[in-house]
Amino acid sequence: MIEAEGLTKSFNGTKAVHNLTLNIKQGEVYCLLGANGAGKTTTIHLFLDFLKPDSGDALINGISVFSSPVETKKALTYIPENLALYPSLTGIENLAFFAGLGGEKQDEEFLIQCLSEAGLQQEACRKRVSRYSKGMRQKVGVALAIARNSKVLLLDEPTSGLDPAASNDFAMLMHRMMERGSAILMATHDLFRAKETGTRAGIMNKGVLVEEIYTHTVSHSDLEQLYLNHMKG
Amino acid sequence: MNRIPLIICRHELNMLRRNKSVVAGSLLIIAILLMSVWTGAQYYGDLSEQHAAAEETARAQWEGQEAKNPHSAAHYGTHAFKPVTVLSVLDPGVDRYTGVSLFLEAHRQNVTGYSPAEDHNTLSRFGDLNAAFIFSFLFPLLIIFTGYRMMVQERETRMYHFMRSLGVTDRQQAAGKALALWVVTGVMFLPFILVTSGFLIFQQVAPTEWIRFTGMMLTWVLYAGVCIHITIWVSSRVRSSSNALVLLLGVWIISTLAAPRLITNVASAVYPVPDAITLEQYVQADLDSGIDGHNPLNQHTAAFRDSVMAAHNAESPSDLPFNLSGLMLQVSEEYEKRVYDRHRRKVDTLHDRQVRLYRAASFVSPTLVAQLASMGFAGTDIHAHRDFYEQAEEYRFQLMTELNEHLKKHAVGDDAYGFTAGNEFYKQTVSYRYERPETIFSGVPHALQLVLLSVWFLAGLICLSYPGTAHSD
Repeated sequence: MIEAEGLTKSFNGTKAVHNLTLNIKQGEVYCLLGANGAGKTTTIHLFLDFLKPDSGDALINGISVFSSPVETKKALTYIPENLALYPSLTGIENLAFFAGLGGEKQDEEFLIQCLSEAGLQQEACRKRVSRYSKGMRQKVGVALAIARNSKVLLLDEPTSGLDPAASNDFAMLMHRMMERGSAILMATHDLFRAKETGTRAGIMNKGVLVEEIYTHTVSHSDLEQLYLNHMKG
Repeated sequence: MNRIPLIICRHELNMLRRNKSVVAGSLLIIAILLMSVWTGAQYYGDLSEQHAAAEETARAQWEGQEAKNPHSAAHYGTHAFKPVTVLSVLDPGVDRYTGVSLFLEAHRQNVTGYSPAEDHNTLSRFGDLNAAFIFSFLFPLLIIFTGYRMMVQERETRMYHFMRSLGVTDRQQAAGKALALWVVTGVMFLPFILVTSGFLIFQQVAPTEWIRFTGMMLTWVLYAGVCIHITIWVSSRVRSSSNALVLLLGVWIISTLAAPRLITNVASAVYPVPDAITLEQYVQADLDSGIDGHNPLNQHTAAFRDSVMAAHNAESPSDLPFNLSGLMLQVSEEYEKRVYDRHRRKVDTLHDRQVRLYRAASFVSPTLVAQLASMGFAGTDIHAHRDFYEQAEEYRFQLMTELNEHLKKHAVGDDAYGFTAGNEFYKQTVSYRYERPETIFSGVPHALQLVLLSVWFLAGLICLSYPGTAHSD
C-alpha cells in the first residue's frame, strides 16, 4: 500500500533521503526511527508530494504520488506533529470541514461516531478546539482518517509532546486502525512507542535506511541498542 | 464546478460569523451606508426645495422689476441655479466645490458661486459621509481587515501543509477565500441597493437615472472586486500576517490618500489653469481690442458706428430706423461672448487634460478611476458642471439678445432718449430651466473608465490565479 522505490532527495547537494526502498502492507504500522535530520519528515513529505524527488518513486496503492497526486491524496490521511485545527470551531465543525474537502459525507451523527471511534468523548466533540489538548487534536486527525475511510496514514511525530497516558491512547488507536486494515507510516523518535505500536521499524541515518526490524523479534533494550549503534556508526 | 472553493468559502464565512470585530465592522459599514442614504435623501429634498424656491424668486424678481431701460435690466441681471441630481445623494462629486448659482448679466460670463464646501473646513469635508466616500475609503479598509490573514494564517498555523495533504491547491484556497469576501461584500451591498432603490422609486426617477445607478453600482462592485483580489493575493504572497497588514494598508494609503492628492498636484503643475484674476486680465486685454457698446470713444465702436451711419446714409443716430445703441450693445455682446468663450474653451481644454492625466494615472490607483466613473454616472462630475454652465451661458446670451433687440427695435426716433420697457415685456422674456442631457455617455468617457476599472479587476483575478509561491517551501 505504501511503497518507495529508490527514492532520493537532496537539498543543496546534501542527500536528505538516499535510495529509499520501502513496502508497507495493509495492517502494518511501520515506524521510521532516526535522529533529527535523518530524513524521516522528508520521506513523509515526498509521499505527500510536497517535495519532488531527484530520483525514484513513491507509490500509494500502487499509484505514483508524483504522477497522480490528487488521486493518491484521496487515499491517505496525514497527521503532522502539531495538527493545526481551527480554534474557533468545534471538533465536529473542524472534522466536517476537512471531511468535506475530501468529498466525504458530513452528516453530524456520522462525524460524532468517527470522533468517538477515535477516542474523543462525546461532550468534547461540541467544544471549541481552542480548549483541546494536543492528544485530543491528534484524535480529530484520526477521526478524519476514519471519516475518509483512509487505508493509508502518514504520521509525522504524532506522539511528540503527548503525556504517557495520551501517548498510550494514541498507540491503542493505531492498533485499532491497523485492525481496520490500514497501512501506517509513522515517523517518530519514541523507541518505546515504536516497539509497542509498530509491526516493523526502520532506522534511518543521514537519509539512508540502515536497518529494518520486525518489532516482535526484539526487546526494548535490543531496539535501543541497535538504534544507538547506528547513530554512532 | 469544483466544490472545494465553495466548501472553503462556507468555512470562512462560518469563522467570520464568529469574529466579533468583523461582524461589528460590517454592521457599522452597513449602518453608515444606510445613514448616508437617509441623510443624503434629506439633503437632496432640502436642496431641491431651496433650488425651486430660489429659481422662483429669481424669476419673480426679474418679471416684477419696474419699468426700466432693457439694458439697465441687463445689468440688473438674474440668476441660474444648478439643480441637484438625485444620484448626488450617493456621490456629490464636484458639486460641493463648483457652486450652484450663476449670476447672469450683460457683457460678462461670471463663475458659479455658493458652493456648499465654502461653509465647511477640510476636516468636516472628510467626515461628510456619502456612499461614494464609504465605498472608496472605508470599504477597502473593511476588506483589508477581514481578509489580510486569510491566506497567510494557514501558513502561520501550519494548516497549509495539512490542507495540501487533503488535495487542496493554493488556487482553490485563494478562490474559496475570495468568494467568502465576495459574500461579505454582497451582504454590505444588498441592503444599500434595496434602500437606495426604494428611494429612487419614491422619487419616481426617469429610466436613465436607473441606468446611471446601475453604472454606479457596477463601478463600486468592480472596485470592491479589485480590493478583494489584491487582499487575498497579497495575503498569499507574504510570510506573516503583520507583513500582509502593513503592505495592504500601504497600498490603501497610496491608492486612496496619496495618489489622488499627488496626481492632482502633478496635473495642476503640468497643465496649470490660470487663476480668476489672471484669466480676467487675459479676457480684458482681448475685450479692449474690440467693440465696446458702452464707450463711444472706443475706436472700434466709433468705426462701427460710422460704418452703420454710412450704410444707411444717416447724419445722426436718430435718422436710423433702429436704435443704434441697441445694435452696438448687441454687436458688443456678441464680441464679448466670442472672447469669453475662447478663453473658457482654453480653460476647459486644460481641465480635460488634467482629467486625462488623472485617468491615465489610474494604473497606480484604481480608486482614481472608480471615483471618476462614479461621479460621471451620478452626473456630478466636471463634465456635468460644464454642461450646466454652457446651458446657462446660452440662456444669458439669448436673454441679452432679446433685451438688445427690444431696445434696437423700439427705442427709435423720439423714443430713443429715456426708453423704458414695462414689466409685461420682462414677463414674456425667455426663461431658464436646465435640461440634463438624456444620454448618459454624452461627452463623458464613463465607458473608458469602466474599461480601466475592469482591467484592474481582471489583473487582480489573474494574480489570484497564481497565489502563494511563498507557501510552497
